[in-house]
Amino acid sequence: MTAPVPLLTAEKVVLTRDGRRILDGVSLGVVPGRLLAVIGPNGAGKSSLSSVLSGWWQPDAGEVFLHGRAMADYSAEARARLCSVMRQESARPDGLTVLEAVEIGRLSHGAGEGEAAEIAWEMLVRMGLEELAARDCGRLSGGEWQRVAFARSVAQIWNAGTPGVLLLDEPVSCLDPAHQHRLLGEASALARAGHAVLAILHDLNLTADYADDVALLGGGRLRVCGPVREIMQPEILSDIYSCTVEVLDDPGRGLRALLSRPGR
Amino acid sequence: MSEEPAASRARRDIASRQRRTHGRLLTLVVVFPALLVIAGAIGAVPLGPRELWGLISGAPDVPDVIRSVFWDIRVPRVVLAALVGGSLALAGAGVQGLFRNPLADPGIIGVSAGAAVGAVGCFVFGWQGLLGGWVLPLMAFAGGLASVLLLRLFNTGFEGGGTARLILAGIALNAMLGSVLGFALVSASDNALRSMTFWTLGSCAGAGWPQNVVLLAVLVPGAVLLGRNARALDALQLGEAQAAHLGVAVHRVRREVIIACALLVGAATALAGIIGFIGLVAPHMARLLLGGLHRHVLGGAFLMGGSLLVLADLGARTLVAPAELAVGIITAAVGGPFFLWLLKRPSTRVSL
Ligand SMILES: Nc1ncnc2c1ncn2[C@@H]1O[C@H](COP(=O)(O)OP(=O)(O)O)[C@@H](O)[C@H]1O
Ligand SMILES: [Mg+2]
Repeated sequence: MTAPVPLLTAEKVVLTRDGRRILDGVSLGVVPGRLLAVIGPNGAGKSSLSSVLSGWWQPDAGEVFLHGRAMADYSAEARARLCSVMRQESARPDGLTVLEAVEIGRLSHGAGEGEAAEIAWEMLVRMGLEELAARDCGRLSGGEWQRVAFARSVAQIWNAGTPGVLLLDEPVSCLDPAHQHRLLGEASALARAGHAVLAILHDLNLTADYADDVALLGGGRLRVCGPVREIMQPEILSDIYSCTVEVLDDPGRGLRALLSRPGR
Repeated sequence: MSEEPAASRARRDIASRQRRTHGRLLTLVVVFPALLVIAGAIGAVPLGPRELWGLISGAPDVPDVIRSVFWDIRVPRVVLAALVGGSLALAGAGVQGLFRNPLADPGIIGVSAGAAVGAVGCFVFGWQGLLGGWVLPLMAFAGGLASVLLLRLFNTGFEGGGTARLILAGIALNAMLGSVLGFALVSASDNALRSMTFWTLGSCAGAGWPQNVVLLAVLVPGAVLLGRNARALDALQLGEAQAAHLGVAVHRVRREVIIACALLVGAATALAGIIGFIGLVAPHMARLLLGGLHRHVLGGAFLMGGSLLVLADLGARTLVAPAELAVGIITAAVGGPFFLWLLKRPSTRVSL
């Protein structure tokens, strides 16, 4: 069996901002059918990598390819049809309802309003958000808004005909534990359905539960990248986070990471 | 699939919200022409419903004087007020959407101040009567566009620096143009000063059919340019990066919206002077009434801004008749308290 071709690849990407190297030769592929977790300490360059992978930032060296074509060759619209991004932060569209905000996900498909509304409603149902459909986005809690943003990102690659790329930058940072599982469960189901999913995460246990592959970023460099079981090693994790991480392989619960208080 | 009661309630809420929005839009669409007719009936020679009908239907028994007062003086003026108000409000909706800032006034990109400098230059040199009075609007329009080009220069294109830089550059530009304006006012003769002051407070007294045709010729492309970016403006409310991820060509949209707003404000200001407040308030009212989708906000703002300025101009020409008030005095005097009342209502939510 040959390995599937990545839908999105970064080749030796270098990004410099204010004279500092934020990304230093990162090469990475996001493969259809798999969920790739990108982990690493604050300031490691995870969000910057996502900005470069999504075409929002031009790398200073190296290149990004989407479906085999250079990122810079795409129009914003053509790119959006293939690659959906949920940024770490986004402004709230005051005065728009939740349903209207999710419908914006269909902008690049130029379909009729009716179809956009239908898909948006379907996404809300999937995410258990249908009760919020008529609410003003400006009046949601942080977690509710994060789930709405996820629903919008999924609507963007829904029924597009080709497998899409989904880039999620800390998609569960505001969610309660149950909704963290629900959202990542959906993300992983999208990977199963053939999409290529990248999720930036901090929680090592959620990473163990939902990631197929893990890329570990530190100081703008890709430290290691591989199947989740190869990366979830106490030495690797303890080193990158500079604190003691134990990894248990519980037959019932799978891999569990235990973090000790620093200094113990 | 069977839905939870809460879900079907949400579906009902959405449907009723849409009905409400469409109902309100329809109301505005009906009120707007009705206001035009009512304002056309009021003035030094009041017209009754029968006369109005006779005038509009072209009945032959209407005296020529009345016909001339109505068609040559009153209607052009009411139409100019409507078009100017609508243009300013459209531009306001455009910049507020683009800058994601409800405080943004269309003047923020420097157009009105630039137009003022052009107009005041005209008064200083005593050119206002040249070319049948068309030199003044031409210079004002040119001043408005020139200041926007200057803004672009400062900002290495509208695309380069990002929205925050554009706003700050606009503030700096406004201050610089303001000092030019102040210098011109201080050094002007008493006579020129009066005309200048009147001009900077706005007036629809210079109305005529040619003016309306010219304004319409600028308004239509400006409105089309904004309208085709309505969906992009919706997406921009999520921030520029997120909008780009959703498929919006952010640079093109920013350029088009600014050009559209410059055209609209430039033309409106050239023909009616500086009229404050409409461009700020009308889009707000549209959002409060119709929700945040820009295809509704833009349409609603146009109708609302047009209606408001028709009313304000009615006040300007009747309150102290036979003298005239500058219409900007009325928009500020009435618009200010009304806006405060709007903000005070508990259901009004404003965030920056
Ligand atoms: N727009 C920017 N300009 C300059 N430096 C930036 C910018 N965005 C991020 N950085 C810097 O790049 C580094 C990586 O940031 P980021 O990718 O956001 O980290 P994280 O891994 O926490 O998502 C940080 O040191 C940050 O200060
Ligand atoms: Mg980040």
